[in-house]
Amino acid sequence: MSSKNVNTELKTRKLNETLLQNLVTLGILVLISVIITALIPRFLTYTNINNVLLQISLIIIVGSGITLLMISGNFDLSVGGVLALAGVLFAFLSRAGVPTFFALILSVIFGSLMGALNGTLVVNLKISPIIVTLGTMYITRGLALIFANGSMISSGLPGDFRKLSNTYFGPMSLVIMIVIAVVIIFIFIQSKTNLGQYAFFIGSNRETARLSGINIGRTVSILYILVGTLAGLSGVILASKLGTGDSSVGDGFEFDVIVAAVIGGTSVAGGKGSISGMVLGAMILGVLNNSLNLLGVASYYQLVIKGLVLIGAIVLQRYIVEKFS
Amino acid sequence: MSGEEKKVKFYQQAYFKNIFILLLLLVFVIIFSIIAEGFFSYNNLVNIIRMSIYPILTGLAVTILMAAGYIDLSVGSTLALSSLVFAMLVKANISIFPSLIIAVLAGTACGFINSLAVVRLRITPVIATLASAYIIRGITFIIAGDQANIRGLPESFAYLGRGFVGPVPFQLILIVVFVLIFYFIERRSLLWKYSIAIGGNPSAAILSGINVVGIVSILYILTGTLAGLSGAIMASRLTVGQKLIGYGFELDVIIAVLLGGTSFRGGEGSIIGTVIGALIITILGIGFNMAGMPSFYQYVIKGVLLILAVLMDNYVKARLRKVGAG
Repeated sequence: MSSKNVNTELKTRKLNETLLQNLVTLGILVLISVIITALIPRFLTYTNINNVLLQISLIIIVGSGITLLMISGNFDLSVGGVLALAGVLFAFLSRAGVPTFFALILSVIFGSLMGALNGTLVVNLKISPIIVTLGTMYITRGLALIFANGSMISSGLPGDFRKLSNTYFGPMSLVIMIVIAVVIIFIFIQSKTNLGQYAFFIGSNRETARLSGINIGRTVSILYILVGTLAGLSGVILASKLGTGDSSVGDGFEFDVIVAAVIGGTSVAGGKGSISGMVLGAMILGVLNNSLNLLGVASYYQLVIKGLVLIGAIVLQRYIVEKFS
Repeated sequence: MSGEEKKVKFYQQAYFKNIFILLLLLVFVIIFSIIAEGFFSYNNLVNIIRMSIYPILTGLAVTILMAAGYIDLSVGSTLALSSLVFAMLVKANISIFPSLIIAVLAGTACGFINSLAVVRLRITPVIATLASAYIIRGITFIIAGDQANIRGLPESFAYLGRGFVGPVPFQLILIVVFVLIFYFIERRSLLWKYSIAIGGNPSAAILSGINVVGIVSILYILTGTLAGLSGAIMASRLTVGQKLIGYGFELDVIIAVLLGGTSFRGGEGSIIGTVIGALIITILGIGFNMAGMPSFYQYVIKGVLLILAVLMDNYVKARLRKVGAG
């Protein structure tokens, strides 16, 4: 069999598995939605659906990068901290008189820099991703608190601070358009570019990837930078939506993002995952949160449920894969 | 290389690291004695002992866990759960000792659940314990209900965290007892040897007949139990049951253990190192507070310290390899 055939076959199998995984996830999403609609009719209204989409928009943006990163067998716990820091920085710079647009760009770039720092520590200094990103999670959270002087920056912000989240094109908000654009770009990266292929190879078998001449260090660094950039982008969107630079936002955000990716079939061990699956996973998470809110379930029950959903998703996913192969 | 030689080299490395962090501890003590008024005093010494008991006790168990190549991110939530359970039971007029036992057992249960998730469901330790951290925190909130704090506890409740035996703080006695037990485990027990073997080479450990599932379960249960005990002691010191404590505790413990020379990849660890590491992290917290630095600056410092601890470990290893002793 020629190598091209092997490659195509590998691709078809991967595609089939992803398709099956996505169908199961979609099935669960539909099932939950049907049950919720039966229980709470106002679940299926335009306003509420819009609400759910807005709630999960940040998860989807960052999740697009995290999925690729996790496929490569890496990990990032610092996205919640980077999100808070970028938001605070956005407010800090805007208040200091930097034109809003530049403040926004600078804050997003700062997110990229934090990603680059994560990448450097993981790749060049060979520290485990968990330790590095646990460290930078606290560093970024601490910096956010320092810039916000212990709480938040809410006064003295320019009038166009909220413009990013207020802009609508017809019925569609700019934020939703950004989400769609990010997802399309990352699906493209995953399926059509070397970066996506390399991430997959590195996560499946690092040694083989190295021996076949893939520059692992550069690939992983780029992935961390992408995740940092997306976390920064999410941070400025959230700050713009809240109208404040709040240092306490994004607590547990890394958990939501990882849950979304894992529900969508991304393997924690690397080598497997899909961005479309992550989007479905985020929707399940959003629908679940929203319906628990509508049902009046206190927020701390949601912590327990989210934890259980994560573990359930991992076990179910493994079961499906074992059945399939 | 003969076994004897190997042993000598291992101790060289452990010895070198312990000396290094002992110096680090000394440097911090000197700095804070200069910049923070009242740092170098008997009262503050007692305070340091009382505050260091949590990372020390939990860190002892986490040392073996991490030496075996595993991790637990849920110890902060476990600590909060146990502290709340302890305070609520005493508040409900159950006597101190049974309440304490139940509170510690609550921690044991958390450890047991972690062990199930990691060894039975085979979920990656980081993910499993991150999930259980949220689950346990949620359960703590559910148990607490609307109460933010549980106050009005009897005087005797405070003994565990504030009591004295003559001039000696009771907590110091607890620390010494537990450190001796774990030092014994390190030097004499199969549990330690097996854990190091699992951390060093999991496949080889399985092939040589070590019951990996059993050992790792014991380590998670031990970690949960000691995190539970730490929580009970913390509730006692504060004389309030609080649901919001223990955030970032897992970071403190991991930093202490890594500073102490336990490798994140598993395969080596040091009990005495962990004790020194825990003292460093405690002294940093207290010292910066006394010097008037807002607590959120400490997040940054701790994050940097975590990464530096691992870098130091890598550096020492590379260095020892160069001189032919690693």
